[in-house]
Amino acid sequence: MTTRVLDVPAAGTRRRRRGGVPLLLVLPFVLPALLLGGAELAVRAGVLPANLMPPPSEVARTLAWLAENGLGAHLAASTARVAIGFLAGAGAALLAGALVALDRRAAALFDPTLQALRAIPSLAWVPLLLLWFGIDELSKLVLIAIGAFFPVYTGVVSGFGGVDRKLVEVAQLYRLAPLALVRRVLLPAALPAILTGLRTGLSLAWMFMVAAELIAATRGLGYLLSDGRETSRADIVLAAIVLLAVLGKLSDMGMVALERRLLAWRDDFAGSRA
Amino acid sequence: MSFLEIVVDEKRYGERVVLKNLRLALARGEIVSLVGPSGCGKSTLLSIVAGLDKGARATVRLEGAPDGEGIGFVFQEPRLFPWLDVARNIAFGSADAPPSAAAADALLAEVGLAGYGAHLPRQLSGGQAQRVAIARALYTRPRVLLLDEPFSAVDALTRIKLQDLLARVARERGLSVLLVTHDIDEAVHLSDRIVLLDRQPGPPRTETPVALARPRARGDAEAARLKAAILAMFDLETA
Repeated sequence: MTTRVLDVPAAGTRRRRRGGVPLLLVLPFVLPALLLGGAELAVRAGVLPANLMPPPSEVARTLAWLAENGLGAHLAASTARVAIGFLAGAGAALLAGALVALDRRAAALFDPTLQALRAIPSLAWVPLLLLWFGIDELSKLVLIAIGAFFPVYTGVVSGFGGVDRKLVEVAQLYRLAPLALVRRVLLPAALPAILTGLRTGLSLAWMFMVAAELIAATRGLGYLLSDGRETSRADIVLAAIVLLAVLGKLSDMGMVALERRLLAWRDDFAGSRA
Repeated sequence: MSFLEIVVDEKRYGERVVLKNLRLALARGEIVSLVGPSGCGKSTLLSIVAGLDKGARATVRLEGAPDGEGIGFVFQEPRLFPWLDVARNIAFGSADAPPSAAAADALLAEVGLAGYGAHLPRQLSGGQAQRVAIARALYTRPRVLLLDEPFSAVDALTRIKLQDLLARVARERGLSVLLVTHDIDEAVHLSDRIVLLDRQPGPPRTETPVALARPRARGDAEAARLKAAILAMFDLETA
């Protein structure tokens, strides 16, 4: 009879690579690196036409050039539009959603109309907004606000509507006044859905900012996109796309951080893996 | 007049009458268990006493207290607010802001969870969460405690510990207790009186005094005889 000693790795050793860098921190960069490297090689080997698909190195040079030639103003213009439009749209949605969720008469009055408006693809508003507000700042801000409004509104209504009746009953036991009920029970309980709505609303705000700037703008990332197309500068178009990706990702990371902070009490799958 | 007087003329859900002509009185410090088949309106009765049910034709009078005050409630589930830590959950009924941390700490010690004030509900076991729910019900210094199958979701050993906790707290605080339960052993072990409700809405089928000395031993022969007698009365209605 023989005795085998099993070679069981100590806990933790399998999860780290030899260099000491956790695998989970490296994995997110694998696909971008492959794609960028592949594009660079393909263009240099002549597989892809450089005028349509500039290599990443050239896009990087364009970005550096733009940085010295007014990129800051473009970024500031786009970011300010997103911020103002999102705040206006999300703020209005929070108020309207809370009203509709908490008052049955308000729900009967507003919700059917809002649902009908929601069914309109938001870009269909563009011609009307241009007619009403001209091609100036206001039409862009209103379009972004419309884009941000509906996801937040839906999140607020479904969040309040989904609050556990059993928790509301506890609040009734202590005879909480309506405002205290909202503040101490309904709002915290609805917060996950509200934050999800805000996050979706923010990403839509970026989307509608680009749409607004593509149509008529003299500054902003959308303007860079359409300018690059008109002057056949694919490198500028790609540079603007990269910047949009970075800004969108940064603002989304901000929302996720906010979510983590506010919802640390949640007992969920994502939390258990963190 | 008794300490707590409950008179339910009628309670319906739509067309269906669940409670009718039911009178129940509790003395100060008395522990009464409500047993009966599912759907006989036991939980509804507790909701009415707690003032949660506004649709019933009923009156509830507690000696020296306005409507609904002086009554604590423990639900079948802990129903803790997941975003509040244990201390804030306990002090939820506090009118003063910020709530008294000392009072919450004292209650935690009383229910055997000293030092758990900063924990979140998700960090508690089922039994611990129900202890916190009991502490929350005691925070407003009630004189009556209502419990709706409070220990039905925990394992047998935890249930025994929680029953002992309830018996101790009720004795030390002189609480009147109205306990809804499916567990006849629990009713016999804890109560001074067991009220059996009928499936048909109306006055209680029977009321059985439990004259066993306290503290009560589990597995007592007299308790077993009482349990058999009560179960026999259950059998009558399914026959």
